[in-house]
Amino acid sequence: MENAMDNIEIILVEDSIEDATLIMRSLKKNNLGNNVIHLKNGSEALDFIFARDEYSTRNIEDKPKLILLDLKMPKVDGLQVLREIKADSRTKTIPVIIMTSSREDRDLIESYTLGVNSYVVKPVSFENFAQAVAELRMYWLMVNQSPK
Amino acid sequence: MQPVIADKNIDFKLVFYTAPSLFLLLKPNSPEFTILDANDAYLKATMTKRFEIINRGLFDVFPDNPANLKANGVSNLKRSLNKVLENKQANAMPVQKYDIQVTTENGIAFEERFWNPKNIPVLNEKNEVLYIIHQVEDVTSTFNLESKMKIASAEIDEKSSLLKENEERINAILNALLRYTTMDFSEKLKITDKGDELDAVVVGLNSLIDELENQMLLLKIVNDELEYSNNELDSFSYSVSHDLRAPLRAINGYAQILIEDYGHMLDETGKHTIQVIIKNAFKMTALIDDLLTFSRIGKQGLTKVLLNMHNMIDTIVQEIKNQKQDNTIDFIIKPIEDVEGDNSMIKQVITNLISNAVKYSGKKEKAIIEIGSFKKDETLVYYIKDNGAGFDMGYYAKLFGVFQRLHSTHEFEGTGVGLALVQRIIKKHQGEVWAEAELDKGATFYFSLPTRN
Repeated sequence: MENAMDNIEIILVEDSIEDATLIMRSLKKNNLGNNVIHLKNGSEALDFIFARDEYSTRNIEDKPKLILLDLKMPKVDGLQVLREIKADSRTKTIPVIIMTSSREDRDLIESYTLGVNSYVVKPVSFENFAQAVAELRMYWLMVNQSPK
Repeated sequence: MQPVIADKNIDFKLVFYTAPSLFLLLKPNSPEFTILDANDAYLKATMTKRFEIINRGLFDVFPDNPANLKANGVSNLKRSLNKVLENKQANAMPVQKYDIQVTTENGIAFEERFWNPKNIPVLNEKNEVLYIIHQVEDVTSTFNLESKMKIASAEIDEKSSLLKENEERINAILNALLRYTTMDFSEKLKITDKGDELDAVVVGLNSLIDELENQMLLLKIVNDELEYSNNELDSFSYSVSHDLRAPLRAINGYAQILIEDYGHMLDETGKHTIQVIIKNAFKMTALIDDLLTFSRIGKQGLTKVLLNMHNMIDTIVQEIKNQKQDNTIDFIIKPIEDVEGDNSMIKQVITNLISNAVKYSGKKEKAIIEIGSFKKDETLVYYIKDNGAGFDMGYYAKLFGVFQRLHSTHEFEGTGVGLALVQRIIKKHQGEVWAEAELDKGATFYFSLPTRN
């Protein structure tokens, strides 16, 4: 487990087991499935990213390459997670992609205000979802030459 | 001829006494000027009795009013009488104001009189002054007229200042009205103690404003409620947007897994069953999307610009032609008038109407779709006419309802939101939508947009 947490490629923050299953399946199909960690809610995501509580043994400097963040989650929602990631100098360079069911403008505006790197609407079919994620990942890996 | 001699018996004293003019007979003994006699008219005018004044000095009987420091009647009269003595000629005085001393119930008082006096010498053969006749014309009434005029002018002054005051009050009312038009009711008009028509206007106005404020308060409550329910609706459609899609993704995604991972274990019927599940998941998604668009249009404000309608229609027709990739449809685009409207919304209207025309004429061998516009009163009317399936006008009432369909989805695909959306957008533009159709012959959809605000 400890070992697996090093060199994390992608953190998937998603409260829906079904969506998580479909997203993971899609990532795997596109060879993005290695070193993906699925966190089931916002509070767990924050604990993991900031190496707190359950994840206090983790090194905060082991930054994931990409965070896929669901917007609508109970208690700590995606926007809250995004806000804390972007407010902390240790984590703000990690590219975050918000995934949402919604096409509502207010979510989009709020996400970009908080400094999200990309915003994808979850399609009914995840056929092409991983493709989009792969492209975004590539883009942010190239743009984001952050120190390790 | 005998000289004419007047009757010796004529009673000149009686004649003198009863002469209508005011006469005083004075002794030429300056400075006393003793009163020798006076006629009745004079006595009456001065409210004196003969025995009271005869053989007394003129100025003893008629002194200046001691209360009136400006009184100069005595000195003027003295001067005139002395002039008469000196010149032995009549002397007319300017109008004099005398304060005649009168006896009233409360004792002695002075009454204001305006007299036009004339002093006439009575001379003997030696040209000596025997008497002086002091003749007086009482012009008090003339002077009273003047004073009445003064009073009247004072009244006019008062009236005009009242007018001015009223003008100021009217201005205050007008200014208040002007303020009220900006919905500023902070300053109410005050009523005066006059209780006149203007006060009545102010009272009426104030009660009107009170009523208006009440209505505005009620309106605010209704508005707050409306805003609340709008917010409710907003969060409802937000929830719909999120929560209704999530299970659809699961249904579709898991059905997909079934096909991909277990498809080899299923026969054709089994595979078809799964395809139906997937197809319906997509259909439901389309419904949700349409419904959300429909509710979003309701909330959205209009951004009106002058629309190049011909370009817009041309672009949409080209897009549809590219999608269809066949030439079974003959588009006839007539000259199209430009109009003001919200670009994306009107585009949605045209797209929906042309798509409908294409859809419902899809079963014709040669579909003809005509698009045109014409002026009607204060509006521009646009129409999209097809020769497709049409509909029974008996069901016209259902045509623009949400989720109302006049054809089954087996015949023609659709969610039943398209025309409802068209109507909603056009109503938002203060326009109208209507249609004419005949079953199996085609339909014409019209919408009008106002040409002025």
